Amino acid sequence: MNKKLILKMVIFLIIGGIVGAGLTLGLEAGKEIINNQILPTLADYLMTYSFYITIAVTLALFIPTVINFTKGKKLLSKAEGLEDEALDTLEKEAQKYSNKAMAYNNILLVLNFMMYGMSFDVDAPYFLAKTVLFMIIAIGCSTTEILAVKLMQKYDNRLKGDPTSLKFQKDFLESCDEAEKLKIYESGFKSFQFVKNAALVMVILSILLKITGFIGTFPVFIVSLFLFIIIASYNYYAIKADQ
Amino acid sequence: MPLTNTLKVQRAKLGINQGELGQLTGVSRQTISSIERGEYNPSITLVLKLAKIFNTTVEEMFEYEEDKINE
Repeated sequence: MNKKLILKMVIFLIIGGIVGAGLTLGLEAGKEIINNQILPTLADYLMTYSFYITIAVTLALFIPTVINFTKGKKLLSKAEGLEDEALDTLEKEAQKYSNKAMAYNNILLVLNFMMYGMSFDVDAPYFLAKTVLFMIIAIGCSTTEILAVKLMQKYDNRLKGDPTSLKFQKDFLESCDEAEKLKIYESGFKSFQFVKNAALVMVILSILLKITGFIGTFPVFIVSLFLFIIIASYNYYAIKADQ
Repeated sequence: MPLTNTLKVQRAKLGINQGELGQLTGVSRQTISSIERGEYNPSITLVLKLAKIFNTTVEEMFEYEEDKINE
Protein backbone atom coordinates (compact mmCIF):
# COMPACT_ATOMS: atom_id res chain seq x y z
CA MET A 1 0.00 0.00 0.00
CA ASN A 2 1.49 3.38 -0.90
CA LYS A 3 2.02 6.19 1.61
CA LYS A 4 -0.49 8.48 -0.07
CA LEU A 5 -3.28 5.93 0.36
CA ILE A 6 -2.41 5.32 4.01
CA LEU A 7 -2.37 9.08 4.64
CA LYS A 8 -5.74 9.44 2.91
CA MET A 9 -7.22 6.66 5.07
CA VAL A 10 -5.82 8.22 8.26
CA ILE A 11 -7.29 11.62 7.28
CA PHE A 12 -10.68 10.01 6.61
CA LEU A 13 -10.54 8.23 9.98
CA ILE A 14 -9.66 11.49 11.77
CA ILE A 15 -12.49 13.37 9.97
CA GLY A 16 -14.90 10.50 10.79
CA GLY A 17 -13.80 10.62 14.44
CA ILE A 18 -14.29 14.40 14.63
CA VAL A 19 -17.76 14.21 12.98
CA GLY A 20 -18.74 11.30 15.25
CA ALA A 21 -17.54 13.08 18.38
CA GLY A 22 -19.30 16.29 17.31
CA LEU A 23 -22.56 14.45 16.69
CA THR A 24 -22.29 12.59 20.00
CA LEU A 25 -21.64 15.81 21.92
CA GLY A 26 -24.49 17.55 20.08
CA LEU A 27 -26.92 14.73 20.82
CA GLU A 28 -25.74 14.61 24.42
CA ALA A 29 -26.36 18.35 24.80
CA GLY A 30 -29.83 18.15 23.26
CA LYS A 31 -30.74 14.86 24.95
CA GLU A 32 -33.02 16.42 27.55
CA ILE A 33 -35.05 18.42 25.04
CA ILE A 34 -35.23 15.57 22.50
CA ASN A 35 -36.12 12.90 25.07
CA ASN A 36 -38.56 14.94 27.15
CA GLN A 37 -40.15 17.27 24.61
CA ILE A 38 -39.62 16.50 20.93
CA LEU A 39 -39.97 12.69 20.91
CA PRO A 40 -43.05 12.44 23.20
CA THR A 41 -44.80 15.21 21.24
CA LEU A 42 -44.01 13.49 17.93
CA ALA A 43 -45.14 10.11 19.26
CA ASP A 44 -48.40 11.61 20.60
CA TYR A 45 -49.03 13.39 17.33
CA LEU A 46 -48.38 10.20 15.37
CA MET A 47 -50.64 8.07 17.57
CA THR A 48 -53.49 10.58 17.44
CA TYR A 49 -53.38 11.55 13.78
CA SER A 50 -51.78 8.56 12.02
CA PHE A 51 -55.12 7.56 10.46
CA TYR A 52 -55.57 11.00 8.86
CA ILE A 53 -51.87 11.28 7.96
CA THR A 54 -52.10 7.90 6.19
CA ILE A 55 -55.17 9.04 4.23
CA ALA A 56 -53.41 12.29 3.23
CA VAL A 57 -50.21 10.46 2.22
CA THR A 58 -52.25 7.90 0.26
CA LEU A 59 -54.09 10.59 -1.68
CA ALA A 60 -50.86 12.51 -2.31
CA LEU A 61 -49.13 9.42 -3.70
CA PHE A 62 -51.85 7.20 -5.15
CA ILE A 63 -53.38 9.92 -7.36
CA PRO A 64 -50.04 10.64 -9.13
CA THR A 65 -49.52 6.86 -9.41
CA VAL A 66 -52.83 6.46 -11.25
CA ILE A 67 -52.30 9.58 -13.40
CA ASN A 68 -48.81 8.51 -14.51
CA PHE A 69 -49.86 4.91 -15.06
CA THR A 70 -52.82 5.99 -17.20
CA LYS A 71 -50.67 8.42 -19.21
CA GLY A 72 -48.12 5.67 -19.91
CA LYS A 73 -50.87 3.21 -20.87
CA LYS A 74 -52.50 5.74 -23.21
CA LEU A 75 -49.17 6.45 -24.91
CA LEU A 76 -48.47 2.75 -25.46
CA SER A 77 -51.91 2.30 -27.02
CA LYS A 78 -50.84 4.75 -29.74
CA ALA A 79 -47.75 2.71 -30.65
CA GLU A 80 -49.35 0.57 -33.34
CA GLY A 81 -48.24 1.48 -36.86
CA LEU A 82 -45.64 4.05 -35.80
CA GLU A 83 -42.24 4.38 -37.49
CA ASP A 84 -39.15 3.22 -35.55
CA GLU A 85 -37.94 6.75 -34.65
CA ALA A 86 -41.40 7.81 -33.46
CA LEU A 87 -41.68 4.58 -31.48
CA ASP A 88 -38.37 5.31 -29.74
CA THR A 89 -39.65 8.67 -28.53
CA LEU A 90 -43.06 7.31 -27.55
CA GLU A 91 -41.67 4.32 -25.64
CA LYS A 92 -39.16 6.50 -23.78
CA GLU A 93 -41.96 8.84 -22.75
CA ALA A 94 -44.19 5.92 -21.70
CA GLN A 95 -41.29 4.41 -19.73
CA LYS A 96 -40.81 7.72 -17.93
CA TYR A 97 -44.46 7.77 -16.86
CA SER A 98 -44.34 4.11 -15.85
CA ASN A 99 -41.16 4.67 -13.75
CA LYS A 100 -42.78 7.64 -12.04
CA ALA A 101 -45.96 5.66 -11.31
CA MET A 102 -43.95 2.78 -9.83
CA ALA A 103 -41.83 5.16 -7.74
CA TYR A 104 -44.93 6.79 -6.20
CA ASN A 105 -46.51 3.37 -5.70
CA ASN A 106 -43.45 1.93 -3.93
CA ILE A 107 -43.01 4.99 -1.72
CA LEU A 108 -46.66 4.68 -0.70
CA LEU A 109 -46.22 0.98 0.10
CA VAL A 110 -43.19 1.66 2.32
CA LEU A 111 -44.81 4.66 4.05
CA ASN A 112 -47.94 2.59 4.65
CA PHE A 113 -45.91 -0.06 6.48
CA MET A 114 -44.00 2.64 8.39
CA MET A 115 -47.11 4.52 9.49
CA TYR A 116 -48.94 1.37 10.52
CA GLY A 117 -45.93 -0.12 12.30
CA MET A 118 -44.96 3.07 14.13
CA SER A 119 -48.48 3.84 15.30
CA PHE A 120 -49.45 0.25 16.07
CA ASP A 121 -51.42 0.17 19.31
CA VAL A 122 -54.48 -2.02 19.82
CA ASP A 123 -55.89 0.46 22.34
CA ALA A 124 -55.32 3.54 20.16
CA PRO A 125 -58.32 5.29 18.53
CA TYR A 126 -59.32 4.06 15.06
CA PHE A 127 -57.18 0.93 15.41
CA LEU A 128 -59.58 -1.21 13.38
CA ALA A 129 -60.03 1.50 10.74
CA LYS A 130 -56.24 1.90 10.56
CA THR A 131 -55.81 -1.85 10.06
CA VAL A 132 -58.42 -1.93 7.28
CA LEU A 133 -56.81 1.11 5.62
CA PHE A 134 -53.38 -0.51 5.89
CA MET A 135 -54.67 -3.65 4.16
CA ILE A 136 -56.49 -1.71 1.42
CA ILE A 137 -53.34 0.32 0.63
CA ALA A 138 -51.11 -2.78 0.65
CA ILE A 139 -53.49 -4.64 -1.69
CA GLY A 140 -53.90 -1.53 -3.88
CA CYS A 141 -50.14 -1.04 -4.26
CA SER A 142 -49.56 -4.73 -5.06
CA THR A 143 -52.40 -4.70 -7.60
CA THR A 144 -50.97 -1.59 -9.29
CA GLU A 145 -47.60 -3.30 -9.60
CA ILE A 146 -49.21 -6.43 -11.07
CA LEU A 147 -51.16 -4.29 -13.55
CA ALA A 148 -47.95 -2.49 -14.59
CA VAL A 149 -46.18 -5.81 -15.24
CA LYS A 150 -49.17 -7.17 -17.18
CA LEU A 151 -49.30 -4.00 -19.28
CA MET A 152 -45.60 -4.40 -20.09
CA GLN A 153 -46.15 -8.06 -21.02
CA LYS A 154 -49.17 -7.19 -23.17
CA TYR A 155 -47.09 -4.63 -25.04
CA ASP A 156 -44.09 -6.95 -25.41
CA ASN A 157 -45.16 -10.61 -25.35
CA ARG A 158 -41.54 -11.83 -25.11
CA LEU A 159 -41.60 -10.92 -21.43
CA LYS A 160 -42.75 -13.87 -19.35
CA GLY A 161 -43.61 -14.60 -15.74
CA ASP A 162 -46.73 -14.48 -13.66
CA PRO A 163 -46.43 -11.42 -11.35
CA THR A 164 -48.45 -13.22 -8.66
CA SER A 165 -46.09 -16.20 -8.66
CA LEU A 166 -43.04 -16.63 -6.43
CA LYS A 167 -41.05 -17.61 -9.52
CA PHE A 168 -41.85 -14.31 -11.24
CA GLN A 169 -38.39 -12.65 -10.86
CA LYS A 170 -36.64 -15.73 -12.28
CA ASP A 171 -39.07 -16.22 -15.19
CA PHE A 172 -39.08 -12.53 -16.03
CA LEU A 173 -35.28 -12.25 -16.02
CA GLU A 174 -34.93 -15.34 -18.19
CA SER A 175 -37.30 -13.86 -20.79
CA CYS A 176 -35.31 -10.59 -21.03
CA ASP A 177 -32.81 -10.21 -23.88
CA GLU A 178 -29.08 -9.60 -23.39
CA ALA A 179 -29.30 -5.77 -23.43
CA GLU A 180 -32.18 -5.76 -20.95
CA LYS A 181 -30.30 -8.19 -18.66
CA LEU A 182 -27.22 -5.95 -18.78
CA LYS A 183 -29.34 -2.96 -17.71
CA ILE A 184 -30.86 -5.01 -14.85
CA TYR A 185 -27.42 -6.20 -13.66
CA GLU A 186 -25.96 -2.68 -13.87
CA SER A 187 -28.77 -1.11 -11.88
CA GLY A 188 -28.72 -4.05 -9.45
CA PHE A 189 -25.01 -3.53 -8.74
CA LYS A 190 -25.39 0.24 -8.35
CA SER A 191 -28.32 -0.33 -6.02
CA PHE A 192 -26.27 -2.85 -3.98
CA GLN A 193 -23.44 -0.32 -3.54
CA PHE A 194 -25.88 2.39 -2.50
CA VAL A 195 -27.75 0.19 -0.01
CA LYS A 196 -24.47 -1.11 1.45
CA ASN A 197 -23.21 2.45 2.07
CA ALA A 198 -26.59 3.56 3.43
CA ALA A 199 -26.65 0.55 5.81
CA LEU A 200 -23.12 1.39 6.98
CA VAL A 201 -24.19 4.97 7.74
CA MET A 202 -27.21 3.59 9.62
CA VAL A 203 -24.96 1.30 11.70
CA ILE A 204 -22.69 4.22 12.62
CA LEU A 205 -25.70 6.39 13.45
CA SER A 206 -27.25 3.66 15.57
CA ILE A 207 -23.97 3.25 17.50
CA LEU A 208 -23.87 7.02 18.13
CA LEU A 209 -27.49 6.94 19.32
CA LYS A 210 -26.69 3.98 21.58
CA ILE A 211 -23.67 5.81 23.05
CA THR A 212 -25.82 8.85 23.79
CA GLY A 213 -28.52 6.66 25.32
CA PHE A 214 -31.34 7.38 22.85
CA ILE A 215 -31.75 3.76 21.84
CA GLY A 216 -30.91 0.36 23.27
CA THR A 217 -28.86 -2.51 21.91
CA PHE A 218 -31.58 -4.07 19.74
CA PRO A 219 -31.75 -1.35 17.01
CA VAL A 220 -27.93 -1.55 16.69
CA PHE A 221 -28.23 -5.31 16.30
CA ILE A 222 -31.02 -5.00 13.69
CA VAL A 223 -29.19 -2.51 11.43
CA SER A 224 -25.90 -4.41 11.82
CA LEU A 225 -27.72 -7.61 10.87
CA PHE A 226 -29.17 -5.80 7.85
CA LEU A 227 -25.66 -4.74 6.75
CA PHE A 228 -24.40 -8.28 7.31
CA ILE A 229 -27.21 -9.77 5.18
CA ILE A 230 -26.51 -7.32 2.34
CA ILE A 231 -22.78 -8.07 2.25
CA ALA A 232 -23.11 -11.82 2.92
CA SER A 233 -25.76 -12.29 0.20
CA TYR A 234 -23.62 -10.42 -2.35
CA ASN A 235 -20.58 -12.55 -1.48
CA TYR A 236 -22.68 -15.73 -1.62
CA TYR A 237 -23.93 -14.98 -5.13
CA ALA A 238 -20.46 -13.82 -6.26
CA ILE A 239 -18.96 -17.15 -5.11
CA LYS A 240 -21.84 -19.06 -6.71
CA ALA A 241 -21.32 -17.22 -10.00
CA ASP A 242 -17.62 -18.13 -10.01
CA GLN A 243 -18.31 -21.87 -9.65
CA MET B 1 -18.46 3.70 -28.55
CA PRO B 2 -15.67 2.56 -30.90
CA LEU B 3 -18.03 0.18 -32.76
CA THR B 4 -19.97 1.48 -35.75
CA ASN B 5 -22.49 -0.52 -37.75
CA THR B 6 -24.52 -0.62 -40.93
CA LEU B 7 -27.47 -2.36 -39.36
CA LYS B 8 -29.96 0.28 -40.41
CA VAL B 9 -28.83 0.01 -44.03
CA GLN B 10 -28.93 -3.78 -43.97
CA ARG B 11 -32.39 -3.67 -42.46
CA ALA B 12 -33.59 -1.24 -45.11
CA LYS B 13 -32.24 -3.54 -47.83
CA LEU B 14 -34.31 -6.37 -46.39
CA GLY B 15 -37.31 -4.07 -45.96
CA ILE B 16 -38.03 -4.86 -42.34
CA ASN B 17 -38.49 -2.60 -39.34
CA GLN B 18 -36.78 -2.79 -35.95
CA GLY B 19 -39.66 -4.73 -34.40
CA GLU B 20 -39.56 -7.39 -37.11
CA LEU B 21 -35.78 -7.70 -36.84
CA GLY B 22 -36.19 -8.01 -33.09
CA GLN B 23 -38.64 -10.87 -33.57
CA LEU B 24 -36.28 -12.63 -35.97
CA THR B 25 -33.35 -12.39 -33.55
CA GLY B 26 -35.33 -12.89 -30.33
CA VAL B 27 -34.52 -9.49 -28.84
CA SER B 28 -36.62 -6.41 -28.19
CA ARG B 29 -37.16 -3.61 -30.69
CA GLN B 30 -35.46 -1.27 -28.21
CA THR B 31 -32.32 -3.43 -28.25
CA ILE B 32 -32.16 -3.28 -32.06
CA SER B 33 -32.61 0.49 -31.81
CA SER B 34 -29.80 0.74 -29.22
CA ILE B 35 -27.46 -1.28 -31.44
CA GLU B 36 -28.23 0.91 -34.46
CA ARG B 37 -27.55 4.05 -32.44
CA GLY B 38 -24.25 2.58 -31.20
CA GLU B 39 -25.40 2.65 -27.59
CA TYR B 40 -25.14 -1.08 -27.09
CA ASN B 41 -22.51 -3.54 -28.32
CA PRO B 42 -24.24 -6.85 -29.05
CA SER B 43 -22.88 -10.25 -28.07
CA ILE B 44 -21.12 -12.48 -30.61
CA THR B 45 -24.17 -14.76 -30.70
CA LEU B 46 -26.46 -11.89 -31.62
CA VAL B 47 -24.00 -10.52 -34.18
CA LEU B 48 -23.78 -13.94 -35.86
CA LYS B 49 -27.56 -14.22 -35.88
CA LEU B 50 -27.79 -10.80 -37.54
CA ALA B 51 -25.16 -11.77 -40.12
CA LYS B 52 -27.15 -14.90 -40.95
CA ILE B 53 -30.41 -12.97 -41.33
CA PHE B 54 -28.83 -10.35 -43.59
CA ASN B 55 -26.80 -12.99 -45.40
CA THR B 56 -23.64 -10.99 -44.92
CA THR B 57 -20.40 -11.05 -42.92
CA VAL B 58 -19.81 -9.58 -39.47
CA GLU B 59 -17.19 -7.22 -40.95
CA GLU B 60 -19.76 -5.91 -43.42
CA MET B 61 -22.07 -5.01 -40.57
CA PHE B 62 -19.72 -3.91 -37.80
CA GLU B 63 -16.54 -1.90 -37.86
CA TYR B 64 -14.21 -1.16 -35.03
CA GLU B 65 -13.42 2.58 -35.11
CA GLU B 66 -9.71 1.98 -34.50
CA ASP B 67 -9.63 0.21 -37.89
CA LYS B 68 -10.65 3.48 -39.53
CA ILE B 69 -7.89 5.38 -37.71
CA ASN B 70 -5.28 2.84 -38.87
CA GLU B 71 -6.40 3.03 -42.49
